[in-house]
Amino acid sequence: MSKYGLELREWALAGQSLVTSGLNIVDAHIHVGPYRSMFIPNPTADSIVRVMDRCGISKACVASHLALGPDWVRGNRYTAEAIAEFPDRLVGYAVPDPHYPSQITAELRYTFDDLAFQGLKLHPDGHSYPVDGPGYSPAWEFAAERNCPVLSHTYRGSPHCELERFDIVANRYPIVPIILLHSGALAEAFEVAIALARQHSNIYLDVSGSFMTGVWIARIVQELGAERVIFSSDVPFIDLRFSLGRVLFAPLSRAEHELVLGGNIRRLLAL
Amino acid sequence: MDLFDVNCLVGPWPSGQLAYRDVPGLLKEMSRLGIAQAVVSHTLARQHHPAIGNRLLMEQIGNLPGLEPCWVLLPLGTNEMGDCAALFREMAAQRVRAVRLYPRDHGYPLTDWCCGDLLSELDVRRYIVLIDLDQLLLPVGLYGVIQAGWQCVDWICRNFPHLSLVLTNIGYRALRALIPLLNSHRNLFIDLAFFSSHAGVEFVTEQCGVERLLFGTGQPLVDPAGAVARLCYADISRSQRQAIGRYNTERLLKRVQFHGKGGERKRT
Repeated sequence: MSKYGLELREWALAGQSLVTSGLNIVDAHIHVGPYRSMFIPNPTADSIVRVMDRCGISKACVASHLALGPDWVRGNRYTAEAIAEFPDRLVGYAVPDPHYPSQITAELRYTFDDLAFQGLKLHPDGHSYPVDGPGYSPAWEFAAERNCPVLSHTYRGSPHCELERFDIVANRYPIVPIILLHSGALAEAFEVAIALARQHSNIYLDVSGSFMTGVWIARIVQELGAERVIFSSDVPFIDLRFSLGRVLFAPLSRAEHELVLGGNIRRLLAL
Repeated sequence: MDLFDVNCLVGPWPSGQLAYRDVPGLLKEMSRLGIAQAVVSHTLARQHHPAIGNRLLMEQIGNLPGLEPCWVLLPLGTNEMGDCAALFREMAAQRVRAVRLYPRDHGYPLTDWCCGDLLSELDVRRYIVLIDLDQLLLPVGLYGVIQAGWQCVDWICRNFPHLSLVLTNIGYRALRALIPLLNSHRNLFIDLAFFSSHAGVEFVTEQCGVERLLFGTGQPLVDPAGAVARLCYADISRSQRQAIGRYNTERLLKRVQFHGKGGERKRT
């Protein structure tokens, strides 16, 4: 293990704030609010920011659970409330609902221009709609016009957000940075995600999810380069500390950690 | 902090990209992550046959300090692991104090008529019994599970109150069922291997007691760094961290009585 790796290990085992390490960590994808299918102890912005403070994470990028499901507009307003509570710590992602395509552009303009949101989050499974379907077109076009990243939930075997569908949207919108959240989610999807990212320079792989490991994180970095890999936690689905630990202890250099843990998302969002 | 991992495996696995497959690899990972001791099962006891995997485990971990053997068992009805009395004598001789059950993978129901005798033997000896939650909750669709398996947890804890049932690999969808079960059964515990509910460790500590949580990683199938960071950055006191990190597991192991005796079990 390198000297850097040993130091980082000691900080983490001591539960020491990672501000000490000099790493400027940004969690690229979190949520707030309750979720129907499970109990989350305290899914509030306040609770999450306290965990961020505990670990030494400077910012996190948020879309509310409500927006990913039944009420996208109310959900986007809920996201805005969370950001208003912690304007220096939280960055907003607008969520478009593909079942209301004629309303998407106006809503996205409002969230970006009036509420200072900075990215788009799609959840094709949450909205039961394929990511490459026409209902999402206004969202993709908005992202191209504003040069902002689009983060999308992915899941191997999903009828709405299987990885192959992103080959289509990446071809259609080659200038839009597309972040594949969970990189397909299941371990057997990771090789497919890597191959997809190799084909499309605008695709980035996010390393959150139930089945991601440090071994895979190191492999993805080795295959694509650290500048194409993004850390996020998916809190409060997955406690931030689980997701962070996998990256911290992954065999990466300091330069690679700096990019994965915050440098890449800061660049894409111009933070 | 010298951690005690209650949930790890060693051995081959039919997929790539594991951090290790053999005992030297396990020891190296333990050292890297500040884990001093571990309760270990062999992957072939799950993926092939318990009798073969358990034997391989004992050959491979030998008397290595810091590694505590955990055997995988089957119901007694088919006599696949030999005579019951001989099995438990052997476990005592080998100082096996923890066992695992894989009812889904090994094709049997957790019912009185199938597993009651086995669980009785484990109960009188106060064994630690580890079961992965996904062996009980069957998946449906991409995201759903059939919740009926929780009834097995209640049944085991209620009818075998002296064994320590440790549910492993809890995930983030379990708390609505798990909290009332933890509050009903003092012999129910959970490990940290992907117990990923946001603020879940703090919630269970406060609501059910810190003694119900055991540090476990699920490695190498689950990245152990998640559980390590989860514990090291948990919003709990130092003594609570130490309890979860090792003392709770040590306490449960010390309870095991290899030659336990008991009266007639009242079955419900």
